[in-house]
Parts: sequence; C-alpha cells; structure tokens
Amino acid sequence: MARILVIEDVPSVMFSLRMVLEGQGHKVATAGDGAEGLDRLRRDAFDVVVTDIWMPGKDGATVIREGRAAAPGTRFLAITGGSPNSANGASPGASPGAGIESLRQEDFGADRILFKPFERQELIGAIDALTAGS
Amino acid sequence: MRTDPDAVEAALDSARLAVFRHEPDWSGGPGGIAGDLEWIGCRYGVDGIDGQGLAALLDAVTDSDRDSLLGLFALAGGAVRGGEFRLKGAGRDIHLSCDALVESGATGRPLRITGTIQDISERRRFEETLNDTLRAKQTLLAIIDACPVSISVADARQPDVPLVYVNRRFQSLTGYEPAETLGRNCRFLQGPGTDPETAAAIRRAVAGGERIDTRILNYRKDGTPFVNELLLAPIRDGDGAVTAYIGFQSDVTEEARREEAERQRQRMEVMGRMMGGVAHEINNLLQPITLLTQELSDRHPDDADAPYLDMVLDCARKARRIIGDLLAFSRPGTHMAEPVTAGALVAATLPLVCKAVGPGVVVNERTDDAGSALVLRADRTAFAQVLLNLAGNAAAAMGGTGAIAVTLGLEPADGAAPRRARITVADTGCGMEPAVLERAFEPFFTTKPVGQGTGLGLSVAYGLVKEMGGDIALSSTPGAGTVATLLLPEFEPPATA
Ligand SMILES: Cc1cc2nc3c(=O)[nH]c(=O)nc-3n(C[C@H](O)[C@H](O)[C@H](O)COP(=O)(O)O)c2cc1C
Ligand SMILES: Nc1ncnc2c1ncn2[C@@H]1O[C@H](COP(=O)(O)OP(=O)(O)OP(=O)(O)O)[C@@H](O)[C@H]1O
Ligand SMILES: [Mg+2]
Repeated sequence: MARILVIEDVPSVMFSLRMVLEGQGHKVATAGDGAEGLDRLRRDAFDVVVTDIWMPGKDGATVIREGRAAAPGTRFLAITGGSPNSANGASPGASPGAGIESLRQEDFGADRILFKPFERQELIGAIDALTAGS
Repeated sequence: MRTDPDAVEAALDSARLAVFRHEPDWSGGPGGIAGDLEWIGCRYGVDGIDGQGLAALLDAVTDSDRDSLLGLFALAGGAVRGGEFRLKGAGRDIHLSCDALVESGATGRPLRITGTIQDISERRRFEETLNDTLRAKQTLLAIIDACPVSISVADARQPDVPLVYVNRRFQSLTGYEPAETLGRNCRFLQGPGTDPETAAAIRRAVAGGERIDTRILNYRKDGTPFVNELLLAPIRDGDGAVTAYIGFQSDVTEEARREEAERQRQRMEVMGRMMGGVAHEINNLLQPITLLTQELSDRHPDDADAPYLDMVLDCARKARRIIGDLLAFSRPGTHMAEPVTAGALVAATLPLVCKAVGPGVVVNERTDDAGSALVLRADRTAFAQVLLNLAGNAAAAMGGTGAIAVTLGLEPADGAAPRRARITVADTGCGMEPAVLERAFEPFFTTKPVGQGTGLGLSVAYGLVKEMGGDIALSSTPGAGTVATLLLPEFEPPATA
C-alpha cells in the first residue's frame, strides 16, 4: 500500500486514475491543479506523486521541480497527453521546435513518464516500480 | 552681266573667305616655298594674316598642320588640291580650309597656284559640340543596353502602346530579338497560364497613366514559363501628358517557388498545431475510457458481458493509434534538419499520406531493414511535403482510385557518393508522354485544368530534396504508370576531435 497524490485538471481522468489506484489498495489523495498539489505535498507525506504535465496555472514540470525540493523522498510519475496548443506535446516551458522525438526523451524531471492514453497495467507497473524497495 | 567688285568683296568678307595667288620660285630649292603669296582683294577675313605673305602664313600654322599646308604648294600633286589647317591662336585655334587650283608649267612644276582660304572655325566648333552630344547619348544608350535589368520602353502615343526599345537583358530574359518585339504590344509574353485578372489590372493602369508593380506569369520564346516581376511607370512631357511607358522586368521564379514551399510548410504547421490540440483533448477522453473499461473487466472477470468491454477497449486502442500517427508527423518550428532514421521518417509521414490521398487510394508500404536503419539528416515537415506532393500526383494520375506503392531501401555507396536511402512512390496511373515528363519539374507546369493545380508540386518537391542534399527523378510509361525516386544521403556526423 502506498500513499499517492494525483494532480490532474480533467475530472474524468482523475476519477479513472483513482479507481484503478484505490482498486490496488493504495491510499489516494487528489488535487485539481499544480498549486493545490504542492500545498498538499507540503502538508502530508506521499510515496508517489502522479502529475499531469500540461495544466492551466502551474505546469507539471514546475510541480515536480518544486515538489522535489519540498519532499525529497517522494517519487514522481508524469503523465501527459500533449499540449493543447502545440503538436509536440512538450511542456509549456520546453524549447520551441522540440519534436516528438525530444518529447520522448524529455522526462520533465520525473522518475517515470506515461503517455496518455496508457493502460491500466502500465499504471500499476509504474507505481510498483516506483515504490519497490521502499 | 557685270559684277560689282564691292559686292563681291563684301560677300567674301562675310563668308570669311580669302583668295590668294602664289607663284612659286623654284630657284630657291625644290621646296617651292619661296615666292610671293599675293592676296587678291583688300579684305580677307582671315584674322591676323591679312595682307601678309606665304612665310607669314607658314609661321602662323600650328606645327602639326604645317605639312597639310605645304602639300598645297608642293612640287608633286594633282591640279586640284585641298587641305585643312589650323592657325595658332591666342585662345581657340582658327580652323582654315583651303582649296587650290595648280597650273603647271612646261617642266611639269607648279607655275601658279590660285585658291581660297576659308575660316571654318565656327562650323568645326559646332560639329564638335554635336559630336559630344551624340557621344554622350550613345554612351547613355550603351549603359542602358548593358544594364543587368530588363528595360523596355513603349510609345504611349501610338495605338496599342507598342514597344519602341528593349535592352539586351530583355532579350536574354525573354529569348526574343528586338526585331521580333519592336512595334508590338508586350502582351506577347503572356500565355495560357497568365492570370487574366493581372493583365486586366495592367491594362487599367496603362489606360489611366498610372504606375503599376505586379507579378505576372510570362513565357519565353522557347515556351518556358517564368514569373515576371513587372514594374511599369509612365513618362510625361512638359505638359504632363503621358508620352511613353518604361517597363522593368525581372525573373522571380525561384522566389515564387520558395514562397510556395513556405506557404505549404506554414499550412502544415497550422495543421500540426491544430492536431496537437485535438490530440490533447482526445487523449484525455481516451484515458478514462481505457482505464475504467480495464478496471471493470478486472473486477468482473467472469461476466458474460465481458466481450462488450473488450470491444470498447479495442476501439479506444484504435483511436489512440490514429491520434499517435497524426501527432508523429506534425511538428512546429521552422525547417530544422535533424538526424533521423529513414524508417522513422517514412513511418511518421505515411499516415498523413494515407489520409491525404483520399479513401479510394490504398498505400502499400514495403521497407527493408537496411534502408530503414539508415540515418538521414532531414526536416520532418519538408520530407512530409515531398511525399505528400508525390502521392498527390500519383493519386491524381489514377483518377482517385488505385494503389500507390511506397518503398524504402538502401542504395549502396558508389564511388564518391555515400550510402543513400532510396524511397520510391509508384502508381499505376495514366503515366506521362516524354514531352510532359521532360517538363514535369518546371514551376507552373501542369496538365491539370485551370484552378486544379498550381503546377508547383514537383517544383517544390525538387527544391526541398535538393535542400536535403538528395536527388529526385521520375520515370514513366504512358498508360502504365509512374515511379518517383528519391535518393537521400546518409548523415555523417561531424568528426569529433
Ligand atoms: C513598357 C511596357 C512593358 C510591358 N512589359 C510587359 C511584360 O514584360 N510582360 C507582360 O506580361 N506584360 C507587359 N506589359 C503589359 C502589356 O503590354 C499590356 O499592357 C497588358 O497585357 C494589358 O493589356 P491587355 O489586357 O490589352 O493585354 C508591358 C507594357 C508596357 C507599356
Ligand atoms: N505520377 C504522375 N503521373 C502522371 N503525371 C504526372 C505525375 N506526376 C506529375 N505528373 C505531371 O506533371 C505535372 C506537374 O506536376 P506538379 O505536381 O508539379 O503540378 P500539378 O500536380 O499539376 O499541380 P499541383 O501539384 O499544384 O496540384 C502534372 O500536371 C502532371 O501532368
Ligand atoms: Mg502535384
């Protein structure tokens, strides 16, 4: 059982993530945007943060950077479906012209990354890998 | 009839004409210069030497012209002699013209020489200024003729404004000799692809005496088209009436081709951005569909309705693949060549090609491993443009139904040529007659009806392939089909020290 914080702005995506993770017996907390997520992270301890990358307000890459400073022991799983206003899906701060190739290479500072829409087993496997040995 | 000597003298004076008689004295030597020169009459009009003898005249002549004067009095020579010489003047030279009649004696030597000397300084000066003017005008004409800009002039006062002057660059640009162009209206450069609207705009400008700067499709004498950047400006007389038009032509075909490539690229970029936005939305919809369906399947493994959930999942996965394909090709940013395997390049482009050719055309792909693994240096968008243009032509040649075969293979190194990826796009369409094949890459060459093709597709493809350091060629059999072949060189990373 792991303590997991999910930061995601689309409610239906959030709901489905929680269903799967709670189904695996994890304890899940949620936040609807980056600022709220960082707040939660500073107050409570989490084993894993699952964060969307493109969100209005604070983007996922920033959440991961600031989150690591606030919670050094926490592992980060980035999930992304591309950006709504560019074809490359890179984070808002990424250099313009970064291609899909560099998207595949870019990790947004996360320990792991999953590309939406990923499958249930990929999610479960990623969480297992991040919590293994802890 | 009697002649009044005073009247003659007055006439001679105003004509600045002197009359002389000379009887050479040969005893002094063969020069015959001795002897007296006698002026006939009292006023001679030849300034400075009135009333003086031959010696004085000889002294007064400029050194360089002295021989010319001596020739008149020489031992040998014809009976009628003439010459010009100048007198040393304080300011300007005095230019004299002399005509002499020589009477020879029994010995054959000149006995008496009678002649006129006329001051022609004014006439000479006038002729010189005239020459200077002419020379200046000719120099100007030569400069205009040699200008590296095509220049043409038409007479606005003649009906239909015919050309009256074209320079050499106009000839080399259009292929027409001046004789073929002068006297004709310049519209003979226009042809089937010329936009009538543009010609009409020029007509209105010329009729209104206005200046116009425009681009118009023209044809050389040999039929090759070029984009003509035409500037027409009226020339007015002192009263402001338009008397002529001057026209400057320049060939901007290459520029037009580059602009078209840039337009295509921008269109694709906008499309790419749009698809990025759509993909983001759809991915966020597919995520809960996928996860919740799988979670339900997992929670109810033995449910009789489980196959329905599998169908939902299957659809979600298909949708994901389509979105992934769309995203793979599109990429923002300007032309950025980057190392990429030929296989990845083709794979990223094919889904887009499939969508572009329409539902009636299937695209069959055959790639071999050696070709796929070759690393090229290419811009993804540019490559997509090339393949789209080739596939578009293939689809059109088959009337929108049929199969296009796309292959990717390895072209081994050959002498100085590096290893290259060989990419072919083959159709089973109408093919091309040799005359069409020969001109297919020409900008604006199209066999499609007006409005259906710009004729720039292959031209743009050619430019982009060259930019990648590659080659493009077409082979075709009329009635059987066409194969377009791209050869793109392997990327050799710069050696690191
Ligand atoms: C000096 C001069 C140069 C011209 N040069 C060109 C030219 O290079 N190419 C062209 O298509 N038209 C050129 N034109 C325009 C045509 O001669 C003509 O004015 C135009 O086609 C519009 O008239 P139209 O509709 O009666 O043909 C030129 C006109 C003038 C007066
Ligand atoms: N695969 C092909 N089969 C038969 N004819 C072809 C093929 N590809 C090109 N052509 C001929 O070459 C001409 C020029 O092709 P190009 O792609 O440059 O322009 P286009 O297709 O006519 O116009 P656009 O590409 O702007 O729609 C075509 O009009 C056609 O006659
Ligand atoms: Mg075409």
